[in-house]
Amino acid sequence: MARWGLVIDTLKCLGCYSCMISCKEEHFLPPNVFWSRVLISEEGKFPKVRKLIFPVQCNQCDDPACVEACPTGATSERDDGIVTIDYDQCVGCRYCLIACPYQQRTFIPRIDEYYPDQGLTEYEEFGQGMLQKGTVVKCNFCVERLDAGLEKGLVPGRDREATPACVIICPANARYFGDLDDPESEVSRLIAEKKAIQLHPEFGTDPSIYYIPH
Amino acid sequence: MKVKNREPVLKEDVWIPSACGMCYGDCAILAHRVDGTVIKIEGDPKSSQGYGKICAKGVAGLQNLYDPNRVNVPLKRTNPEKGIGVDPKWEEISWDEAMDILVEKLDKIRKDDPRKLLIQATTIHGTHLAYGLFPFIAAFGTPNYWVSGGGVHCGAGAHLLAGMNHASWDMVPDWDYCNYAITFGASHGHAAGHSALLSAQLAADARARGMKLVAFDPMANFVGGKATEWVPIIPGTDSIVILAMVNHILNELNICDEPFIKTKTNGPYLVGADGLFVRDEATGKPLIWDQGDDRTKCFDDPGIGDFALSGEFSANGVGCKPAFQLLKDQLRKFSPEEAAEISTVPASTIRRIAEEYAEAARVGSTIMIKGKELPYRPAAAVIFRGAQGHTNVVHTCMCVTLLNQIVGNLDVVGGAIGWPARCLGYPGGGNFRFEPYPDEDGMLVPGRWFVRGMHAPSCQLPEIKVPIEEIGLRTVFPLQNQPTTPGNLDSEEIWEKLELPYRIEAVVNYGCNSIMSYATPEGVLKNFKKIPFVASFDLFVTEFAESFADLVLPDTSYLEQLTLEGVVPIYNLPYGMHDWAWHLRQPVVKPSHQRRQCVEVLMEAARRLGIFEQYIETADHIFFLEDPYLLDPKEDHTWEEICDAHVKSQFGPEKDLNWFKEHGGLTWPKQVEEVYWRPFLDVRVPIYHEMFLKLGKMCREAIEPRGLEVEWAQYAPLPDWFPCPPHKERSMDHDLYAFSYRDILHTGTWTMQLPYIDEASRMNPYTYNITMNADTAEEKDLKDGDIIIVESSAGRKIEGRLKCMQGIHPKCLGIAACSGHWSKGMPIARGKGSHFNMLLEADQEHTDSMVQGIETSARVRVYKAQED
Repeated sequence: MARWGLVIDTLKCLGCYSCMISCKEEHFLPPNVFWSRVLISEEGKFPKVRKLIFPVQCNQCDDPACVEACPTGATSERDDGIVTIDYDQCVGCRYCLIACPYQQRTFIPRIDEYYPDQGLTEYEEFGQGMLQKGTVVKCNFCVERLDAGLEKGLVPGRDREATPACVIICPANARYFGDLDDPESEVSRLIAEKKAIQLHPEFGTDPSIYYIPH
Repeated sequence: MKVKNREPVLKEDVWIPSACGMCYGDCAILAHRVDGTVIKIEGDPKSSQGYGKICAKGVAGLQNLYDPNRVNVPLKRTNPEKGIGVDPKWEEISWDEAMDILVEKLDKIRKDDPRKLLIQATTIHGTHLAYGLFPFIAAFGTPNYWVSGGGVHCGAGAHLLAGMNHASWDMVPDWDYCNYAITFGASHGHAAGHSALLSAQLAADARARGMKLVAFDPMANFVGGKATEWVPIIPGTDSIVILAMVNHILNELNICDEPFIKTKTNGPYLVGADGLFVRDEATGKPLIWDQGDDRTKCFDDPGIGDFALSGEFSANGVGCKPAFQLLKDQLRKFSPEEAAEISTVPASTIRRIAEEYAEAARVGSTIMIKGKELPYRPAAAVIFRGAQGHTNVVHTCMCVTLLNQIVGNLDVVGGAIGWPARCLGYPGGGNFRFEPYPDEDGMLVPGRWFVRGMHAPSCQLPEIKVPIEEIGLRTVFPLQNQPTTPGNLDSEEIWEKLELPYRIEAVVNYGCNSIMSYATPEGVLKNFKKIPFVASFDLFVTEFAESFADLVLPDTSYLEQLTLEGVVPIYNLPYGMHDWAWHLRQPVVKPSHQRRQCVEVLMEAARRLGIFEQYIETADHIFFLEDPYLLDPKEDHTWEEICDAHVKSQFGPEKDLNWFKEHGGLTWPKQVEEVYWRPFLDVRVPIYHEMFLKLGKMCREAIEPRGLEVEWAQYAPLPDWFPCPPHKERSMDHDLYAFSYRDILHTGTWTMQLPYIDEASRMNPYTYNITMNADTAEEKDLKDGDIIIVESSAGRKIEGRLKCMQGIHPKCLGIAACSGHWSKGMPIARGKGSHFNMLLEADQEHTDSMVQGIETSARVRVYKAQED
């Protein structure tokens, strides 16, 4: 069984937010709900300055703190490493929000409209029912795309239809998706060659997202 | 994506190929339509026009389609008063009534004097401008059009120099092979630009493989933030830095691609004491000195042994020097120390970067590509709006070009390359072919330009005409790319001096928001408020429509319209060895409500005005229509028929409109000779601009007696340093240079209305804030989040929220994009950010003397809002 993982090359990443917005569109996420975000800051002192750009999302940890914290079993880890939430089982207790050391979970008290007081657009109407208010949401590595693609015999990370939306859209080709358990995969090779790192490994949750430093 | 809850009832689930329209990059897209609703936009992976990648704006484009604030029915102003903040008191009317009003007004104008019509259009949809509006403009008989943002934000000088040197609209580092790229206020590959998404990928790959990227920029944000080395610089001083660099390379390091200078530039042409080329008396051709035979010969004499580039000679009885010698002499006056004082770039940095660049260019080396041995110069310098948006624009662009010329990297492997200048044709047939060719002096003339028939920049001398016949000053400043006078404060004075025999009485606007996208709104307000009739095709009631429109006509968005995206082939088509790609933009949903595509409405207007015959005649010409696809001007034709005739003329009978609708775009492989064409074509580029000298004399004779202030010294054959108005500012109080910059999230004035983009902009530390160096802020007792007033030396003020940053020049203040909307018709955008352009002056003093570009930085002072 594969363990799906993501490698982000911070040297290539432009900080364009394409991943974040593509994710929102893919999953019909309402205002102020993000499954993927881009953190931008800088380090150094003028004129020796470095811009820092870190796209962040659920790390799909192999030892996920959220799964342990979930009292109902709504959050679980699949055999392929993807941590999913069953909205029907989620009671909105938000223990997982506190447990996640990466702060990648969001509670949805209600589904807001994008144009305040102007109703839902045709696109937003279409997405009604994809999310449930009163539950917690987060990135799921576009598990619907992956599963549908795998059913058709496609390869995640290679074939558009089977690959997460944030990966296929990236204008800088800074995102690589594949099987961390396969030492021959592009992601495994990049992690080894470019010395890619997990964010805060000291949290001890073994994230499936790696960053190539610049 | 899989739509779980809809699956049992899905009737339709399709991905429709089209072209993005959120900027002028025109990337190839796929729109996912399920049961009639567009639910996702992705890139089209089959096309080299982006290889399946799109930016955040492109993804968010579907919000542009479904925005409840779209104009859906024609609107008529019932309040005769016009201006900022005035309620137009819109009345919804039918299309029949709207067309009656439009046609009646235009008919009256046309019968009186067709020149009284001004067509104003956005630059974002350049193809619509070129192919939707130009036939109407020509048929109507007006010379007046204005793309307001074009004057401020476009490459007024960059297009000129790219045209003369690359037969192209712009130039980019050949990222696939470049090892050392220098950007001067340019964000190619890092924020936007032509072929934006191809560039982004190639630049990222280049950085990842170790290319050194040096960014001269006041701010380390987009390109500066990704650069290997960020070089902070005072806005508008790039040219003196480059002059010092070139001086160091040519006169100290003695590095130069001499064979290139001798055979591909006018460097060997002999120049007399009058500054003009010494010419052969019989043929009029420029002479060179053959150091093999020790005598003069015509530049194209087949028997030339060796072109002299230095020395003093005598020809036709006059003393003369090769142009290249004059260049080297001129450069000696620019020391890195002097450049450092003006630009704040340390002299040691100038020398070091010059050395690194010259060495990285590997002058003399070759490389094998597809079995051909080609010159290999893996170093390039590029420029765009940041460095060129100043009153010394032409000289700055000449300087960057010179940096490329001296190492011989123009359109060769790894160097500075154009957006394809040469196409040998689609193998399946058709007339999609073009290439540069030499004029009588051997100098490059572009094979195709923006619109067929439009004067392309070249070394040929254009005409000067006074009195002027159009509101722009193209006939007295013929190098200008776009006019600026429609929005200037002193336009009336200029028109009087140049004897413009009429004034504008009607405007047809296509999606342009000039009151925000130009300089101070005061100029646009002054000129447009008095125009009796303004019709505006818009998606939203913009600030322009709210202030001036008598009629607002509901336009279609890029997801609801049919346009020919590849028709302007001088930009946006994939560059380098990446396949040719030519795309159609087609409706992915039918226009809803009463939205109608502007071009079809104008065709109907042309029919009713009785000018449809001329419309089709023009379309036949500018759309490159050829037998058997020429359209009969005596007959009626639809927009679809024009598009069909165009694609068949370009690519042969099998590639008709239906084929493009099904496939989206056509791609085919490139040949080496098309991409790296420089060694294969016998054309030269100007190191010495004799034309500028001649033109300056002609312009001066025509204009000076009429009392127009012009910096005539700029009409010089060799690049020089000219300080801009902000550099000459004497007030010590106005201690900062304010500049605006391209944010990757935004284009023009419409992207802030996209809620997804607005969310990202609010998340970004800088996009909606005014950015100042952290130490400068501390000195001024300011901190993050303070509401500040920015006041220009002319007393113009804007307000905004402060964000401190280390990565910005201590003497500068940066504001992103074109924000600060106030129209009620754009509620998401309204009140976000600060309207930078408000700080810019719009008059002849702040306009450059050659291409009429506006000065885009201003000296300002800053204080807390409560102190105001």
